[in-house]
This record gives sequence, structure tokens and C-alpha cells, in this order.
Amino acid sequence: MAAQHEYEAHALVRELSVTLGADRGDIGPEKYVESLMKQRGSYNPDQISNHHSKKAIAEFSTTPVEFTAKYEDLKLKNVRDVDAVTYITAEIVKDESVHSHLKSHAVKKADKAGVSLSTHTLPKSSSKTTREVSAVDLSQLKKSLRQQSEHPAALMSSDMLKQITGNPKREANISIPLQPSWVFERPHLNGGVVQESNKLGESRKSRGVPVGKLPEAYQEKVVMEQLLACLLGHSGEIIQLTQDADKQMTFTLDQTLQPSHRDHVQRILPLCSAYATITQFIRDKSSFENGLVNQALVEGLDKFCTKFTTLVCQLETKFLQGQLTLSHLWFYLQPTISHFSLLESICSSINKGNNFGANTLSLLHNRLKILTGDAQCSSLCVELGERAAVPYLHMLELWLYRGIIQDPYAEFMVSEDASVSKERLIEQYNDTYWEKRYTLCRERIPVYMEMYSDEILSTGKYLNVVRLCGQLIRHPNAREISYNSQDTGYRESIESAYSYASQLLLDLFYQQYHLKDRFRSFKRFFLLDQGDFIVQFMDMTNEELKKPISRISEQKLESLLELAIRTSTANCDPYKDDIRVSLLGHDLITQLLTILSLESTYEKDVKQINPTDLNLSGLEAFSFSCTVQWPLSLVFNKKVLFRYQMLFRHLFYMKHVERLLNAVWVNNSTAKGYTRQQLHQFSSAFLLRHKMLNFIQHLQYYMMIEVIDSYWTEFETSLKDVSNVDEVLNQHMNMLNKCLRDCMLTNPELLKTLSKLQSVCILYCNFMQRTYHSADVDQELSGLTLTSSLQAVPTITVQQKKNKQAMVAQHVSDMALDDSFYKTIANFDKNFTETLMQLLNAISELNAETKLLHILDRVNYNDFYSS
Amino acid sequence: MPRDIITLQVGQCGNQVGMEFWKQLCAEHGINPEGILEDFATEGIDRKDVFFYQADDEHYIPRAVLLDLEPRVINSIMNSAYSNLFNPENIYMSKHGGGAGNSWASGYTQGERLYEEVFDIIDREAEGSDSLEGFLLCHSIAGGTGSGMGSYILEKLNDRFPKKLIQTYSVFPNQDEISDVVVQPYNSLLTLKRLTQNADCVNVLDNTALHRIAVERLHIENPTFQQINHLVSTVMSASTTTLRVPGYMNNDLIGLISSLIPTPRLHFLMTGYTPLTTDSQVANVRKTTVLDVMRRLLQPKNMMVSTPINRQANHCYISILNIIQGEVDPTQVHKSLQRIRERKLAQFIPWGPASIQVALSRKSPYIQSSHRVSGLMLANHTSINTLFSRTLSSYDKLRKRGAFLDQFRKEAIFSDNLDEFDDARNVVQMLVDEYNAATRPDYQTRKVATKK
Repeated sequence: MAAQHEYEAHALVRELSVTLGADRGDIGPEKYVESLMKQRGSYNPDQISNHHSKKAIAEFSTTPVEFTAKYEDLKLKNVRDVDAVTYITAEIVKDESVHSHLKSHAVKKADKAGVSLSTHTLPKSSSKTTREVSAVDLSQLKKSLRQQSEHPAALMSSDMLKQITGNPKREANISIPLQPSWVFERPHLNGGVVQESNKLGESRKSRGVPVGKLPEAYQEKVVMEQLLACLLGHSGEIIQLTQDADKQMTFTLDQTLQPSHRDHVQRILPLCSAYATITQFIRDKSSFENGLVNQALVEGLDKFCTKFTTLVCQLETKFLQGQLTLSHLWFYLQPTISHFSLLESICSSINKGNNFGANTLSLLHNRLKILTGDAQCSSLCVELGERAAVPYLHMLELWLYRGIIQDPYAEFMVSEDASVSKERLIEQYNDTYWEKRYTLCRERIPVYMEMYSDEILSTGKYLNVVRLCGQLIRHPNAREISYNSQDTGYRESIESAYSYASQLLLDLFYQQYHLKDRFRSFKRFFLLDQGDFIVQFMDMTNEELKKPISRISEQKLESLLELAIRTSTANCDPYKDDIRVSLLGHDLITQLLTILSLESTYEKDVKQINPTDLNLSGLEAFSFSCTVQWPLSLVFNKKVLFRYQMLFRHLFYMKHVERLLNAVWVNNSTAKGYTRQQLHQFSSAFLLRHKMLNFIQHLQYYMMIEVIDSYWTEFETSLKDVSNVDEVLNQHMNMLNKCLRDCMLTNPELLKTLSKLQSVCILYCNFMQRTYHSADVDQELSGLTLTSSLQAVPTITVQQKKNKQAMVAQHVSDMALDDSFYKTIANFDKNFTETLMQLLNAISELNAETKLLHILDRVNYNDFYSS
Repeated sequence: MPRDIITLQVGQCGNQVGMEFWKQLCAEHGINPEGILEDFATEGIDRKDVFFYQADDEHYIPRAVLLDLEPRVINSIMNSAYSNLFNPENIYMSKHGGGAGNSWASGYTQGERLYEEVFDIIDREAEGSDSLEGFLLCHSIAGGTGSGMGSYILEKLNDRFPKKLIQTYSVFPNQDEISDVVVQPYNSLLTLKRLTQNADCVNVLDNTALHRIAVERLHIENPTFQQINHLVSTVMSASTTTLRVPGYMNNDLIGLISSLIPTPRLHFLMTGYTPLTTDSQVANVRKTTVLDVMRRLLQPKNMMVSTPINRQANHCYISILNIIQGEVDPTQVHKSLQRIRERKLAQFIPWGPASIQVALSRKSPYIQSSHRVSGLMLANHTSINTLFSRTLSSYDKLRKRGAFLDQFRKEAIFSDNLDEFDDARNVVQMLVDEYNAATRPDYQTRKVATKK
């Protein structure tokens, strides 16, 4: 969460306000973002009582009963984040203004969608659909207003709800093998309760005599015989078994039975129905589409059933030997009854919740927790849990130790999106591969794995990268992971797998792919760590880059870049060949705005948003790019590259302005031979240049030393104790984001002001150069030797020299005496100072978190601008 | 295609100082006295090609031109271990070897006479470099050759290479002791005029202060020339370090000096250096921080110019550049700047923005230093004009008596009249005035007022 960045917050807020039609225009998203950043992280599910939220909603709702029922239902289904949604909804309910806005908005939206939505049901959130609609919107609105939004739960909740309520559980793309038809046609094969065909029932019934008429001892025998059959699901005369449409078993007992026997039978009957339910369950759940976990569970249940059948057989033997009475039977069956009732309840809850995969596991686990104290039942539950978990844990092992997903029925907590290919990393502005290739499906995590879910995801993700790099993975201490009734029981295995995988990948990055050197290389080229090459490059490309980009030859730049690199200290960089020239078709501000709008909509391509502006000068469009191969493209993905490019362009243009000013300085320095009078006429121009230079240079010092170098040092230090690649990525991104923020690259307003300042400087330079140039030309016309070239310098006499000097000086001072010169300079001065003050004021109003305030100290060090 | 700089060392002092400078550079770049790169220095992050170029056999040759009117110093260089370092074609010694006799006029005239030969060398050197950025002149302003011939070369350089920067390291005479050069005030004044009008940036190295530093700070009772020159070479190498070991900023000479010099005439810079040590001194145990370095640099006792800084309240800094070498935590820079600002350790001009620039630079890995951090300050301070006033007043004393003018009249430039003296005095006086004016808030407007 720490890596959450302003850009993203920005985009979320913007999207939200659009969704909600709250786009008023007068308040920019900046305000929300700011309050958002401040309050982030205030939602903590553990600290908030659901009860209060529930109560609040229920009180507000006109149909509290329905709401509570729905809530319980969702709870039962193990839907996660119910609590988060509840909390948000409750908050909205409490906040009148938000609530009313949403109400009106939802009505509007519903109208648009052609759904008539009676207003009173909407905020009451009792019906599932309204609740969904409101929850989606509300949760997002809350995001901007309060701060739980940064909490992943809240972010996910809306999607979650939608998924659970809207979509069928199974994804469409999973192919489920067809079951052979005999499974359905031959019910007796499955050992379950079969609705006796009427014919059979008739023949049985033909016994004729009601049981009550029989002698007591005989009665017992008959009852026991039928009971034993009934235990295995066969309907009899005395005990009739019927199954209604819901597959619900009911037993009807012949009322003529002697009361004491009836009593016994009555007590045993639940066992029959339990057995029936369980066998039914076994039959239902053993089909393919129910997934491996359910199948494994069913297998476990089947074991119990087999045992039970054996027991019944034994009892029958005893019965046939005449050694069994009803009370004996009751005695023998007693423990089984309690077991089976537990199993039955498990089966029915699974049926009810239509649980699947991890949900089943969670359910079993939760059941176990309730059963603490009942040793027998809990051991039963443990056994079931163990069995059910076998396929899941096997998947987990594969994932943890080899990074492979073998999950035919979409049960595993990590899902793979094969459409996200690693090649897209360098093509698109996002980090989809790392973020989206493998994702956690929160509803597929068993409760007892929840605390490890992130580690589990990362472990396999790391291993996958290693695998894709063509390395063999041999986990040194791969142990079988088995079900453990304690939540903490998996810690050791998972953590050892995790630390192995992260170490493996980190080593791969560091040792085989020299990540640290790469970082340094990026710093050198994009952040101008050693500036000599860029000075050289700018010297060489000065002419070329002045042209509009449509007329610039990239090949020429490319070769000049190579020359500049080879002849500077950058030559020792091992990755210098990966650096390429790229001319981006939009200026820095456009790029910034694009990125701001892009953070949320990853899919869009930058170029679609901004058509290339062909009139941009090369200087404004110039940037480097760098081709990085897999797996380093994970680190230097397009998103990262974009940030580097922005920083580079910023610095590059700054250097350009500085160079122009320096060129003016060189021209000015010829004035050192002028007379006092002449010199004085220029002083305002000199002073303005000094102001500009002072500002530009100090801004550069600030950005390079205080921002980039400082954050970089921090970053390098932090790299020393990272333990996994995610941390590296986060730290890296964090560092870049901080650099961007403190170089004014996250704030369009500041950047606009700054670029205005830069353009004032450039205009001034052009003006000064023109002034000097015309002096030069005049001098040429007057027939005196021009001395700017190295070769053509014959010896000039002192007199000639003096003449020449006097001429130039005279000319220049003529020009200076001209009032328009003063006016122009004064104008520039006014423009520059005003814009500068504007910038400084804007900076001083920022909150104290950024380093930007340091600019004030530097630029206004001697309080020149505050007086 | 680096931004090359050609070093010209003129006269006895210039060559001695220059020699120390080259020794220092060689050590920092890992080049041995023969000009061959040491094995340990092949993978450097430094730029040797700013000050050196490579001959066909790959050995490094300084972009240096050694000029003197008498052979003693250059001969001693040629007899030292470094004899093979320099390009022998770049060494010019006057054939008759008579020197300039400590007379500016003689040096100037000889410079004029030797123009062709000297500038053949300079032109060749300039053409040999891919993108010449400027010249660096080492000389003293008191003697004959450095001042006279140096002046002439300055003038000519300005003519021939008008767009190239000219930076000088000018040694000012020790005013505490009585010099054996009686015409020293004349020499100084005439040279100052050229430094004002023809150089872009003058690093003032005041022998008075250098001696004081040697005695007081380094505890050497009778400092030798070599010890003093070592101080100078330290300053010279430190001030070029951002060119040679590139960092984020100040990678060219112009970037280094442009913001230090707001108006063309105010280009006389003072230098300060810390920590000052000699080899004999034991390493300081204390941890050096950026703030320490910056604070010490602002102390007058570390300045290599003997001016009464801080005593005259209205004198102030026009600009400051601190080059800090070594392992420095960049986050400290801002704090240090803040601290100095809060405590008002430095007084700045009231008429424009001014502040302390801090450039961070790496240390040469080939030199063992007991100090983690060292710092150089280049400062443009208005009190530098006291140095010029002193020159003016001793000139006035001498001139009033009309002393020693005969040997000047012998030379062409003074054969008709002594107008050159008056002109030079004017220029220097103007400089003093301008520095004085720069202490006042109306520095800029005042001038406009005089015009109208």
C-alpha cells in the first residue's frame, strides 16, 4: 500500500467522480487526493465492529429483517469483504449529503439503463441488486471522502459482490469433462438412497398385517430388520422413506408400532436420514464440475459410509444370530449418530452455500473451530479436512516448489491469465505482467491460508520468473504440506518456500542479470549522474535538435549519441548499447497529463490520447529509451521507463536553458573591455541574466543533489536489505515517484509555471544573441577583420584592434542607448520576476511533505525575492 | 570530444605552480611521471582528456604550454622525473635566457617579439583539440615574465580566440615582506589591467595569505616555495575536479564560472580550502560533515586571499561555489545551507539573488587521503578590492617619486609617454569602485542613473 501513488489516487478519484456524476469542475480532484492521502489507512477491519454497521443499516432500512437475512446469507456463503461493504454502506447511511447525492445519481443511472427503480428500495440496500449497485458506487465514493478506500478489501468489495452475485461461480473457460451417461442411468451403482420403484414397494407392502398386530418380540425383530435396511437407505413397510423434490428425506414410521420400540426407532432414524443425505451428497459432488476439493471430501465421506455399511452388516449378522435387540442396536449406533449428524450438517451447509474448492475447506476448518472440546467429532472433522485438503495442498506444493499451476477446475487461490504475455511489458504503459499474470482470487483462499496468501502468490510468481529464464528449480527442502488444524501450522513450509524463491530470484537478478549495475546505468543515462556525456551530446546535436521533430533524423542522433557516449566517461558503462534515442511526440506537460489520466485506464495506449505534435522542437521531444530484456523488463517496465524519461526530459531541458544562458554569458563577457559608461548601460541585462542563471542553476542543484541523489542514496541503501524482488520493485518505484514529486512532475500547475519561466529565459537569450549578432554583422560590414575563426587571423596592429573594439563597443552602446532595448529588458525582467514569484508562492503553499520547499531556500537564499 | 582546456604556464612562478598542478593531476588520474596510465587506473570514471591528450603510443600528454624567458625553472622540470611528460615542442624558453629582469615592460616587449613562436605553439595545441573550451593561465603578477609576457598573451588570446574562456590562476605578491622586486607595484598594476579587461575569470592566489596559512595553519615556520606551490596546486586541482571527475553538474568550465560572475568585470575570485594539511600532520580523527566543511570554508583564516573579510561590515559575497569532494551524504547539503543561512554566516549582496552553490564531486580513488571530505570554495567577494587598493596605493607612492621609470621607458610601449600607466591606474580604480558599488543595493540602478 505504501507504493500507492498519487497518480493512482488521482485517477481513481477522477474515475469515481465521473462514475458518480459528481464532476462539478469547480473542485479539482487534487483536493480529494490530498485529503485522501492524509487519511489513508484509517480503515482496519479488526477495529470496526460490524455489529454497529449492521445496526445502522438495519435502522435505516425499511426492511431490516430482509437485510439481516441477506447479510447472514452472504456470511454463510463465506463471501469475504461483506464486512467492508457493510461498513461503507453504514458510513454512507450516516452521511446525509453523500447519501442523498447517491440516491439521485442512482435513480438517474437506473433511468438511463432502462430499469425502473423505485426510490425507496435503493438506499435501503435490502434487495440484492440495489445493494450491488449502491455498493459499487458507494464504496468508491467513500474512497475519496473517507479513507478506507486504500484498503484492498474495500477496493475489491465491489468487484467481489458483483462476481458473487452476478456471475455463475465457475468461469466459462474451464473445460469440464463430460461424465458418462451410466452415472445417471444406474443409480444403484452409487450406493445412495434410491427411491424405490412403486412396484417393489407394492410387493413389500403385501405382507398385509400391520406391525402393531404382531407379538411384541416379533415386532422388535421386524422393526430391527427394516431398520437395518433403512439405515442403508431402503424403504420398508414400517419405516417408509420418501424423498421430496428438494431431495429431502423423510421417514414415516408406522404408528401402530409399540411405543417403546417406536421410541428407539425414532432415535435412530436421524441416522438414516443423515446417511441418506450424505450418500446423496457423495453422489452429487463426485461429478467433475464440483472440483477436486469436493471430490476429495466426498471420497473421505465415502470412507465413513463404507465403515458405516460394515457396521450395519456386522449388526445384521448379530441380528441374524439373534443376539441383537433394539436397545443393543441403539447402543451400538449411538456414537455413529452424533458423527453422522455432524457430517450431515456439513453436507447440507455445503449444499446450501454451493461451496466449492477453498470455500469448502474454509467451511470444514471453521466447523472444526466450533467443535473444540468434542474430541471425537473434532478428530472426525480433522480427518475430513485432511482428506479434502489433499488436492488443494498438492496444488499448493506444486506452486510453492515449482511455480506451476495445475488447477483444472479453478479452485486454487492463484489464477493465471495466460493472455498477459511478458512481451507486453516493454510495449505497454503498465506493469500488467507482474501485477496481472498471476493474481490472487480472494474467494479461493481457504481461511487458514489467508495470512499467507501474499507470500504464496509471490513464491510461485518468483519461481515462474526463474523458470522462464530457463533455470532449473530444485527446492532443497521441499516437504509435503499436510493439513494442519492450527492456522500457524503452515508457516514453516510456506515461509521456507517463500524465502527460497525470493532469494533465488533476487540472486538471479543480482548475479546473473546484474541488476545493480543496471540501476546505475539508468541513473547515469537518464538522471545524468555523470553529466559530461550529456554536455558533449548537446554540443554535438545542438543544430539538429533545434529543428522540428519531423525534420530530425533519428539515425543521425543515434550515431551522435554513440559518439558522445564513447568519448565520455559513460564509455565504461556496460549497458551503453541499450540506450536509444527516442523522440516523443508531445511535450513534458502533455506527458504528465497523459500519465495522470492513464494511471487507472491501463489498457489505453498513450499515443491514442495525444496525436503527435510535429512542430515540437527536437529539444522538447528528445528523450532516451532503453531496451531491456526479460526478466529485467519486469523491473524496467514501461511504467518505470516513462518515469525515467520524464525526469530525463525535465533535466535535459533545464540543461538546455542553462546552456543558452551560459552562451549569453560568454558574449557578455566581451564587455569587460568596455568603458564604464558602456558597461553600465548593460547592467540591467546582466543582472537579469544573473537572476535567470541563478534560478536555473539552483533548481538544477536542487533536483540533482537534494532530490535525485538523496533519494537514490536512500534507494541504494534500502537495496542492501531487501529480501525479495517485490520489495526491489516497490523501492524503485517509490524512489522514482518521490523524485517526480519533488521535481514538480506530479503537479501540472507548477510545471506550467516552470515552463513559462524557462521560455522567458529562452526568449531573453534569443534577444540578447540577436543584439550581439547584429553587432557582429555591422562590424563585418564595416570591413574590419572578423576574428571569430581560428585560422584567418593575420597579425593586427594595436591600432586596428583598438578601432575594432571601439566600433563594437560603440555599436553596442548605441543599441543600448536605444530606449527599446531598456524597455525590452525591463519587460523580460518583469515577466521573469513575476512568474518566478508565482512559482515560489505556489510552492510555499504546498504541504510540508515535499522537498519542494527547499527550492525556496535556495533561490531566495539572501532574501532577495522576499523584499 | 571533451571540452578541452589548454594550460599556459608563464614565467618562473607560473611554471613552478603549473608543475605542481600537473603532478597533482597525474596522481589523481593514475598517470605516472612518464605519462603512462598505471595499471590500477585503467577503468576510471574520470575524464583525463580535458587536460591531457593521448599520443600515438597511448601515453598521456598534458595540454600544456610552458613559457619562460629564462631557462632555470623549465630546466629543473626537464631534469625531474616528469621530464618526459610534456610535449617538448610545447616548451618555449627564450634563447638568450636573460629573463625579463623583473620588469613588466621587458616581459611585455619580449612577448610581443616572440609572438609568432609562442602562438605557433598555442595555435597548434588549439587545433589539436576537438572542442577547446578555454585557456588556463598560471602566472604571478609581480615578476617580469609572468606579468609582462602573461599580459601580452592575455591580450592576444582575447583577440585570437574571442569565444574561448580565459581563466587565470594569478599569484599576487606577498605584501608582508619587502620584495626584492622594487617595481612590483608597477608590474602588478599593469597586469591587473589585463586581468580586468582580458580574462574571464581570475582566481586570486595571494602569497600573503598563502604564507599565513602555511605558518599558522600548517605550522611551517619558513615555508618553502614548494610547500606554498603545493597549496596552490591543491586549489587548482580541486577547482577543476568537476571537469575531470564529472558529476551531476558543473561539467564544463562555463557552467562552473558563469553563475559566479554576474557582471563581466567582477570576475576576481577568492579561494578557500579545507582541510589544510601537510604530509607530516596526523589524520584528523573527527568525522567531517558537510556542514563542517562549509562552515570552515567561510572562515577567513582558510581563505587564500588576505583581505579583511567581515571586518568591514558592508563587504559581502556576490556568489559562492563550494566544491565538496569525498563521501558525502547528499541529504546533508540542504541542512547545512539552512544552518548557514540561519546563523547568517555569510553576508550576501543586496541587489540580486545570491546563494551558496554546492557541487558534490568524487575523490580520486588513487590518492590516499586521511580526510573523508574536503572542500573548496570559490567565492566572489567584494572585499577583494582591498587587494587592488593596496596595489594602487603602493603604485601611487612609487609613481609620485617617479622611481624606477627609466627601465620602463626603455621599452616600446612606454617610449613615447607613460599613458599606459595612467590608463591602467584608471582601469584598476574603476574595478575598485565597481566592487565598492556592488556592496550597495543601488548597484544596478546607480549606473542607469549616471547615464541619464
